[in-house]
This record gives sequence, C-alpha cells and structure tokens, in this order.
Amino acid sequence: MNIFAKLRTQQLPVQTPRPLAVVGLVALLAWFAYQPLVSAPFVNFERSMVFVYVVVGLGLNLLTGLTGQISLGHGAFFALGAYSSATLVNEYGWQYWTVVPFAAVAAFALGYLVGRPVLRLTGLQLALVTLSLALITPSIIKAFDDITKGQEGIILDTAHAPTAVGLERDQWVYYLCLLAAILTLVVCHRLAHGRVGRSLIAIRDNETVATTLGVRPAVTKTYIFAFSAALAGVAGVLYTWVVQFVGPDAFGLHLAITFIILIIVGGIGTTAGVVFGALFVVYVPSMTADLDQSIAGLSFGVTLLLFMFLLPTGVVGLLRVLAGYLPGHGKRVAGVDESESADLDPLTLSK
Amino acid sequence: MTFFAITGLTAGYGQGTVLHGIDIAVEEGDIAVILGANGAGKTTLMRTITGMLRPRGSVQLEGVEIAGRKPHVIARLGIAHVPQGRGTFTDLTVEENLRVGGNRLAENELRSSIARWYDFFPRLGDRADQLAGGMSGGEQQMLAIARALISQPRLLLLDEPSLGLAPKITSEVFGVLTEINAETGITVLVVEQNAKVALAAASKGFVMESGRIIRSGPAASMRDDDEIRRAYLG
Amino acid sequence: MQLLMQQMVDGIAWGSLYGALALTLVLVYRASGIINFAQAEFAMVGAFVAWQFHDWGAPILLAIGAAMVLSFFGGAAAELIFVRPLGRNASHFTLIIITLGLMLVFNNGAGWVWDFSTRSFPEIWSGPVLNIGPAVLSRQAFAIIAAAGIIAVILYVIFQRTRVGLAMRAAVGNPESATLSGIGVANLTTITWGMAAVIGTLVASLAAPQLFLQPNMLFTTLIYAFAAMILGGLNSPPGALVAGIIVGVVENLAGTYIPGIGNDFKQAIALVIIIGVLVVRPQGLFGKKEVARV
Repeated sequence: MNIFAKLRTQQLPVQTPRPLAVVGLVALLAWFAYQPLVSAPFVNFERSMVFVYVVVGLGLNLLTGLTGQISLGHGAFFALGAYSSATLVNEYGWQYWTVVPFAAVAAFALGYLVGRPVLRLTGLQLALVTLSLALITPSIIKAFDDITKGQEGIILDTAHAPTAVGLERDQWVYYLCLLAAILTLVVCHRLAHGRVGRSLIAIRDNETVATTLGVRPAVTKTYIFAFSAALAGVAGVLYTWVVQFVGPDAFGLHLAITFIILIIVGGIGTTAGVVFGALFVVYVPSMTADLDQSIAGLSFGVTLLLFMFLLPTGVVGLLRVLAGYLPGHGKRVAGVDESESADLDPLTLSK
Repeated sequence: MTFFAITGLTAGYGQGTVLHGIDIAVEEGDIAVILGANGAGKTTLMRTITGMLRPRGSVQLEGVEIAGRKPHVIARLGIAHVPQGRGTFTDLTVEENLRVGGNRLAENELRSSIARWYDFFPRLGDRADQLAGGMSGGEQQMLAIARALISQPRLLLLDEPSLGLAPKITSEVFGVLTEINAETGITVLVVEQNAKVALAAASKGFVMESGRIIRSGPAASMRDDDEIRRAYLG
Repeated sequence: MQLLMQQMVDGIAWGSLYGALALTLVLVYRASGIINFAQAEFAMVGAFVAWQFHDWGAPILLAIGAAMVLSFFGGAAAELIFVRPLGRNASHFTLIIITLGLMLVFNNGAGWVWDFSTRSFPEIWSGPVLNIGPAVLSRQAFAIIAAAGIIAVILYVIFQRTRVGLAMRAAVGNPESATLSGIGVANLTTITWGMAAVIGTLVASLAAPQLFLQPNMLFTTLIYAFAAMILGGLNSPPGALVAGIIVGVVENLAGTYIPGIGNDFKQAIALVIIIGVLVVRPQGLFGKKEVARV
C-alpha cells in the first residue's frame, strides 16, 4: 500500500511500552503544571482556550467516533453554558464554579430533547438539521435579548483565584481548565472502553444482534448525544472565565466549523487527535489575525478540504502511518483487543 | 474469427476473486445460455463484460477488445445489457424508457424503431404514456428487452430474465427472444437458473460453477445430458 | 386586509428566492446524492462576479448574463474537482465536510477578493412600484418572482421535452441502467452542477439590491432555502419552488401576526419546519420515498 492509501485506512494505535508511557505522561503533566507560573497572561489564556476546546472535542469525538453521527450544532449547547454563566453570575450572584454543574445538567437536558427525535435521521439529514441549528443560534440568542442583552453582549469579571491560593486570575483559570480537560479525558475514556462503549461498538457492527442482547441503540445514542452536549455546555462556562465576554455572533456557524475542525484535523475517534485539533483552532487564527480578516476562514476551509482528500485519518493517522515505518513497528501484534481502539474508519461512517 | 470471445476472464469484488479465468466463445446468431446455481458468478460475469467491474483477461466483440473500457462506451459499441431485475426506469413512461434505450439514434430512426417495437409488443404500445413502474413483471421484461434492442445492438446480454416471473410468462419471454433472434439474427447471451426453458430456446450452452465454466457444447446435447438434467433440471 | 395582502405578496417574493435556491440544492442532490452546503455561497460569488463586470463598465443585464455563463463552468469545475474524484461510493461524512470546506473557502474567498463591506447592487428593473390590489410590489421583487417562474418553465421544457433532459432524468432515476444504455452519467452530473450554479447566480444577482452585496449576504436566506428544500422534497424540483413560496409566506405571516416572533425568532420557524418534516414525513410534500442509498 502506498502512503496515500495507508492514510485512508484506519491504523491501529501505536503501542508504546508501559513505563515509557507513564514517564511521558508524568513529565507532560509536570510541564503543564509549571508553565503558567512563568508565562504571560495572554499565553495562559490561549492555552486555557486549548483546554476548553479539548473538552468540547472529547465529547464530539465520543459522539462521532462511537455513533458515527456528525453534529454541526453543538455551538448551541456551548452558548447555553456560556450565557448561563454570564447571566447567573452577573444577574443572580451565583458563584462562578457552581454554574458548571448547572450548565452540564441544562445542556444534557437540552441535548436529550434535541437528540431524541433527530438521531433517527440519516447522517445527511442530521448534518442539515444541526447546521441549521448553528445558523440560527445567534438569532435565538438575540431573540431572548431581555436575558441575553442581545447584540450588546454581557461582560464578566469573574473566576478570580481565592486569596489563599495567591495566583493571578489567568493562572487560576488555566489550572481550572486543565483540571476540566483531564477529568473529561478520564470520563470519556472510561465511557468509550466500558460497557457503553462496547454497546456502541456492538451497535455499529450489527445493530440487530446488539438489540437481542439487550442493547437499545436509540436510547444509547441519545445519551451519548446528550452527554456530548453537556460537555459542550461545561466548556461554554469555562469559555466565559477565559474570555470574560459573551456576544451572540461568537456562537454561530464559525463556531460550528471550529468544532468540526477540532475532530477532523486530529483524526476522528482519536483522543490525541482532539489535542491537535484544539491547538490548531487556537493558534492558526491567532497567527493569521494580522493578515486579512478572511485568511482565518480561508485556512479553515482549505484545511477541511485538504484533510478530507489527503489525510482523512487526521494528524494522528499520519503519525501512526509514519510510526509504522520505524524499525520494530512494522508488524502489528495479532489479536489486538478491538475495544482498545474506539476508532472507526471515517470513510465508512453513517451513510 | 469468433463473433464474441471471452478468454481467461478474471474479476472480483475487493479482495475476493469471483471469476477464475472464464472462456466462452459465441458465434453470430447464436442464442447462448449460461447455466448456474446461485453464487456461481453469473451476474458478476455479466457485469464484468459490460464494464461495471475491472477485469483481467480478454473480451472481444468481432475482434475488438472491450475489456477495461468504461461501461457506457461498451454500451455504445453495441452490447446491450438487460440487468437482473430488469433495470426499468420506473419514473419514466414506457415510451420514455424506449427513448432512453435509443438515445444514440437520430430522431426519425428512433421513431420508426419505436413504432416497430410497438408492433411487435402491442401491449407496450397500449401503455406508451403510462409510468413503466406500474407494469407487471412480464411486461417490464418485454419493455427491458425492447429498450435494449431499440439501439440495434450486435450482442444482447440478459441476466436472469425469468427472475420473479411466473412460468407461463417466462416461456413467453423466451419465445419472444427466439422470434427476435430468428427475424433479426441478433446474438443473445442469457444467464439463467431456469435451465429447462433456457436450454429449449438456446443453440449453445455453458455451465458455470464457482466462477468457472465446467461444461460447454450445443444446447441440444445438454438437454439430453443426464448429469445436467439431475443438477439443473430438477 | 391590506396588511395581509401585503404580507402575502412580500412572502411570495421572498419565497421565490428561497424556492429558487432550494431548487439548485435539489438539482444537485438528485444528481449527486449530497446536499451541497456551499451552494448559496456559489450563488453569492456569482453575484459578486456580476457586480465586478458591472463595475468595469458593463450594463447590468450583460454583467449578470456573463456571470451566469462563468458560473456554469465554475459549478461544473467544482463537481469535477471535488466530487467526481471521490466516486459514487464516497461516504456522506466525507462529502458533507467537503461542502462545508467549500462554503468557507467561497465565503472567505469573496471576502478576500472584495472585502466584507456592503456594496449596493443595481436593480435590473427600477421604477414606480406595481400595485397588486391593495398591496404594492417593487419591480425588482416582481423580477425575482418572474425569474423563478421562467426558470421553472425552462427546466420543465428541458427535462420533459429534450433528449438531454430525458437522459438526465434517466441518469438520476437509475444510474446503472442509464449507463448500460450508453448514457455518460458522470458528465450529466457535472452539467447539472453547472446548471444549478447558473440559477443560483441569477437569483442572487436579483436579490442583491435588497440584501446588499456582501459575502454573508445569503446567510439568513440559507436556512429558509433548506426548509423549502426539505418541505418540498429533496428529489422534487417543482416541489422546491412551491415549498419556497409556502415558506416565504409562512415566515412573513408568522413574523407579522404572531406576537413575540420578530426577525430573530422567524429563523427558528425554519428549523422547526425542517425537523418537523424530517421526523413526520421525510420525503416532504412532493418528494418520493427514498430507498436508502447503499
């Protein structure tokens, strides 16, 4: 198989030796923990946004990777979380961190309500419905302008570190977002590899058989959709801590595309891929911000096209193919546990 | 030169090979029938001849190599294929179906051709402006044959014409094929499970099993052959 | 009463726009089995091209005509480059992402070439408003309605009375049989994309005076076009036009008569229509039930 063909087929995850993986992880965590103490505030805020997108991305990853459904409308749940935070903190004096469980529950409920009827639709129809949702989200926000303050938006000044901790706000927010990302990672990992994940893989492989074994595809898929919505809602709250402003136009089509880039660039269904995606969506626009206003959008569009034609398995797919060329990695160990990779071939997802 | 010659044809789907080196020779004016049970590869053979699958080997019509060409090009070279299930354009009228079949002909040629076929199949003429999807299986089969023949092809391929048809209708269909062959001398290659009717109409027979031709010869000798009787005539 | 008539007349005018855009989406869907999310952006770029020709000195009708001709090739090129290479077995997922990518590229591409400021776009038919009973209709709006009608007639003639149209209908109805009859299905698909782009450019150019020419011009219109497409039935071109009018009228009446539904909430109605139709009657009002495309 030439390299282009390889890039189109799903590769197995790279097997790293246990000790190496553990040491690597610990080193990485230490570096993450140390960074904010020596970095400028805007750097910390940028990295916090990466973590925020990781939270969203992990949820979407779960949804698309496990159920094959593509949702373009998660910006609505993100907006729900963001506006909940802005309103409850400013108007009703809530503690900023108490909004998180509220947003999670509210977004879960909304996600369930939306997901129930629409998950029966084909992939194409679902894409249309969720894209339409993304298109109208700014309008809905403006429609409720007595709460949302419409086009004006809401300014926040929140998420300050407790005085005892002695951190600056940017550092505190960074740690909170990092914690959220790690927690989300753990939860999603457990979901994907636990009973739910195995049910979904069973559904994916043979829905009839799965049903006879007691799995209920529609219910499970709806719960995953709602769960990914909840994550988007939580991320929306975190977003307000970083950006300190909400306005309707931030939550429309552009955000929806950003979310899609998140999972495409890294590689659908891969956890590491979400991190690549998050880095991409934060740093590429900031790099192109000085150039023409349209360059960011152009680069996103070209990226989508390039990746779909050349790298459908994303950056992670590319890395895995390259790893396959390293000495000693040529052969795959037979009988690798299928549930290790909750990965799906993106090219055969829901027709 | 053999009118229609298939040599060493090999083809399959993805990793699996279905046809393992098929050899078939048909003379002009023959009605040749390929018998085989389900899964023998008969439909795959038809689809490979008409270019829907990429083949290895050779398929020659009057000495001209057609293997590897695109399907619509092969069709334009004079091979008409009536696929399994007839492939009727259900949303078009009967007349429109025929017009599609004759889409390469000039307008007046097309009109006279259609008129000729209405003479041959009066029932089609009656239903000229009705949607083809509303016709019975037998009528659709007649329409499919007319649609294939309207472009005056040199070779007619039929994939299981008896499928879904009552025995009486199947006899009618093969009767029509024999008549058309007698009148126009068109070469016909039919793939069938219903050996009895097919062999009765054919001049030449082939037996296919697991992607290989295991028997070939004059249809008459196959009709009387005990082995074939037991295996395919029930 | 006068208000009702006015709202209906306005609704029909806007509805013609929605319907025409929905029509382009349906043509592409029938030919390629995908919803081209970038279709409206193609139309918007077409309108910009027309504006550019006019800016260089061409009379507006000529400018629009020239833009339409260019759009044909542009639409065909898009299909040739981005859709045909993937073959008939491409997953919906891949195609959706590609059309999204195209949407971004065309939208921001227009912004890059012409920037995001709004421009005025000349009307093709100006003058005093027309009186339709108690209601008034601008001449340009009448032009849009007339254009939609003319497009409908032209398409009818093409599809029902010409060889090419018949071949297209055959190719759409049963691509395999059409191929076996010697029809080059792939090329007809490319031509269909060209046709859709031409129609898009025309209606976008006609609507531009009202919407003001800028890259995001068709953003709010898009969702109504989607609603019209789904309501009419994804595989019914006439259905798209009729449904467009229905959506236009409903949107206008709802905005006027239902309290609390302002400009912003109206768009939610379109989403409700989309979800409602897909859940209750996926083939829409005029479409045919589809066998799942394997």
